[in-house]
Amino acid sequence: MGVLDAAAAATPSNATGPYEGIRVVSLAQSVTATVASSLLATLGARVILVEPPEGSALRRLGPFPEDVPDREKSAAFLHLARGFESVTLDLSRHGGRSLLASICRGADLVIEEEPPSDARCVRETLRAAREREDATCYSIVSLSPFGLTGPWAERPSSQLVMFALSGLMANVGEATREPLQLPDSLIDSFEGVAAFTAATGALEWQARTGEPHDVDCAAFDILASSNPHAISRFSYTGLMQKRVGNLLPQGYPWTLLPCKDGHIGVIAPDRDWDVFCLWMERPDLTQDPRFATRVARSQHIPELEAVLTEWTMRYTKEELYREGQLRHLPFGAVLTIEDSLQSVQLVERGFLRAIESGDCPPLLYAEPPFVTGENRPSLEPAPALGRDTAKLLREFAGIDTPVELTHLRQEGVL
Amino acid sequence: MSAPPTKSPATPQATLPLAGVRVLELGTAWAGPFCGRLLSDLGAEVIKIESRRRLDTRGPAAPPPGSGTYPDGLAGETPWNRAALFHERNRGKLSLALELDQPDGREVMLALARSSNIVLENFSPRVLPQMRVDWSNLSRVNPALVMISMSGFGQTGPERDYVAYGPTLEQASGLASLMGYADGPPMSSGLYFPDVISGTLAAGLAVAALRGARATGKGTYIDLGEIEAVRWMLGHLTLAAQTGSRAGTARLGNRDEWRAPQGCYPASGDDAWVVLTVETDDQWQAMTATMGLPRLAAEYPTARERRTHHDEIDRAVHDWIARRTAEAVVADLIAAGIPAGQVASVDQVVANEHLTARKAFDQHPIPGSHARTVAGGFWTFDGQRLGMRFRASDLGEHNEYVLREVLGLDDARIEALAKSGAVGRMPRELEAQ
Repeated sequence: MGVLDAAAAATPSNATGPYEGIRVVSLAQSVTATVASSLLATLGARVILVEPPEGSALRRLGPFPEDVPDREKSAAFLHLARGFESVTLDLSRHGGRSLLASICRGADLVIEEEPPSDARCVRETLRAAREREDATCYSIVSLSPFGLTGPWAERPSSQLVMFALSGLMANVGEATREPLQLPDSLIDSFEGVAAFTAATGALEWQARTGEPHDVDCAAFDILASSNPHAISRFSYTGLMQKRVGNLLPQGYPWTLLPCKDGHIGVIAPDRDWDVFCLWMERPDLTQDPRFATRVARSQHIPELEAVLTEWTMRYTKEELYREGQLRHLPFGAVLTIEDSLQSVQLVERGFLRAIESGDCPPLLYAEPPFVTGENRPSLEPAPALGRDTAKLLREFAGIDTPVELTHLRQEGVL
Repeated sequence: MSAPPTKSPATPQATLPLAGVRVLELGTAWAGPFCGRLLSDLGAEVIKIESRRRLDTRGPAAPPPGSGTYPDGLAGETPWNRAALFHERNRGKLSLALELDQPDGREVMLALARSSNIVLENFSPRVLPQMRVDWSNLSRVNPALVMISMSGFGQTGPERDYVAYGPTLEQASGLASLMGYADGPPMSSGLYFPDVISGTLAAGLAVAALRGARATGKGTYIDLGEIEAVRWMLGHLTLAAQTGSRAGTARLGNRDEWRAPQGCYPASGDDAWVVLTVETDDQWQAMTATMGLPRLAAEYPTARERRTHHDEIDRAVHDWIARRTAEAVVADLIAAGIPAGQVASVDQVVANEHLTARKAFDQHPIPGSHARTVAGGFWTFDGQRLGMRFRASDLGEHNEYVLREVLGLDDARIEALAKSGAVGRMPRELEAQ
């Protein structure tokens, strides 16, 4: 934890930025919708998270400290919900939907992810309220796996299912084994980034026209059009790429090799091959007919891999990474999450930063992934469930007596 | 929609979110061009500024016979205008072939920056300062400009000059350490997702910054380090690593940290696979009933128990799926409300009935041949798919439009630029012959 000791822990306040004055009402419960909402907050938007009485589903998703579930300690929520305000409403009740419409009145954007035909119809409630009320012009960004229309719109889905259906998964993994997912929630998070970008488009259009513009943001559409090579290569040439594990088709070496304490990404298939051979003090390899050209190397991969591995095993991943990069080779150390907490680059740029939160000891957080001007935005710690309910109902629904609040609680609306 | 406009394509219309916005793309390979593609889909006029000395992903000026990704395998007389990957990433953009490292080329760039809203670039941090077309130069001529840089590690810090390809970023971000089979080494995805993520994020950040520039008259420079974009998505694991959670410490193959069972199982036929995820206990009841194995639901009713006995459950699921077709298995699972699907190959994806109904892909016209399917727009706005607006442009196809109509240069000036080699329409190596 050397890095943590060195950094003075901060208690940040919310970001300022181009979206100062923008109010976003988010019904996010998934990683995807919460990522989209979170990025809007990093730009200065005021994000009001409307949670069901039992809390956003993200609060029940881990990881948790010591892996003990605790809805106030989900790392996913603590990371993504920073800067949000939290209000609890039961949207299955008419009273809850009506309060939601009040909170949305005068908002700029609503992010929702109801299933297309959900009986509760929050989306329809909001659209109707928007039509009814003057000066109410929020755009609605709807997130879903398959979109709001089309023959598969009602199918159940998961991150893994989306990845498989989109054609991406077929290209990942060993040729002789089952195709492989991308780890963690990377795909869900990417869809959230795409939804964020859609939201910026809707806000920009709305600012120019004064009219709301609703976005149908479907994970399937987005993933299917994010494939780096496959679609156009197939439609232009008829070729379909097979999965090839760590032997990527750009030539050899373009792979991962074991080293003394882990693995190192090795890329030197073309001009860099000579540089790599000199570094290994093996200029003979550039003359060896088996390894001299790109074509020859890709025909003698097992022999060459043995030669390279014998060399990489003498060094640590850190040594190979730094020495390779000194020679402008795009080598990458396979860092664990824990390794990367020690990254001088990430700390120096203010990306990893110690943050105080309540009575917890300070923890390193991943700050927003960009710098504007000289500044990296930061955000307040994530809210406890329903922290802002009373304040928001006073502000937006004119409910300002404890009696009214108690009544709503007894009815189960809050 | 098929031909790129040659005259005033930027006529402001209220029919697209970014109508009237001009973007200069100094993009290469993946992240930059992907960002430009999304901004074009959203309605911006994107001018791709390209070098004739180092062609982007247009492929070699003179490819060896049989190589490349050309339609019908035919490179044609101008192969650099026919490469599949270039078309897909660069459709909907205008092309200005301009050499920024010549003084007169740089002058054109500065003049263009004056009449543009956004500049996006993804060179390594050394490149633009060398040519003196970096933020300090461009913001001087246009104080309201929005500029975004995408580089592997960001514009500052001890690793700013590190060379990063997609796999490098997967490795250094921690992603590769989690990627792979449970019994195997870390892996590369081969998907360049760090670039896809960064290009998509950059597009949103640039659009948002337009609002700030309009409100204050002051532009913004955005420094996006791709490693941070990936690392931010693993931000919960940053916390987990400090609080004693097992999350983010092991490769899980196709399993999930919380949901179980989840996996990828072979079906009958060649390379046919079914994936499924059981999210809830109710789904597990329904799935075991469909499999005719209600015993499993009784024995392992909760996700925690199912994770503990995942191997045993996998064997039962495997046996149930292995002798049947993927289509039949998926149909049964979907009917039972279980998230499931086939691992689709690209031919299946482009023919998918749902994507077709939603107009999720675009058709890129090819001179002398039929149109080809390419990646489409990400979203529909008000029910309208925002995708390809016109085909990818030939190298330097809009030199004339940009110089004459956007910048108002006269014949003599345009001729001088052509003569000095600052602009042109042929790859440099062919001009020299």
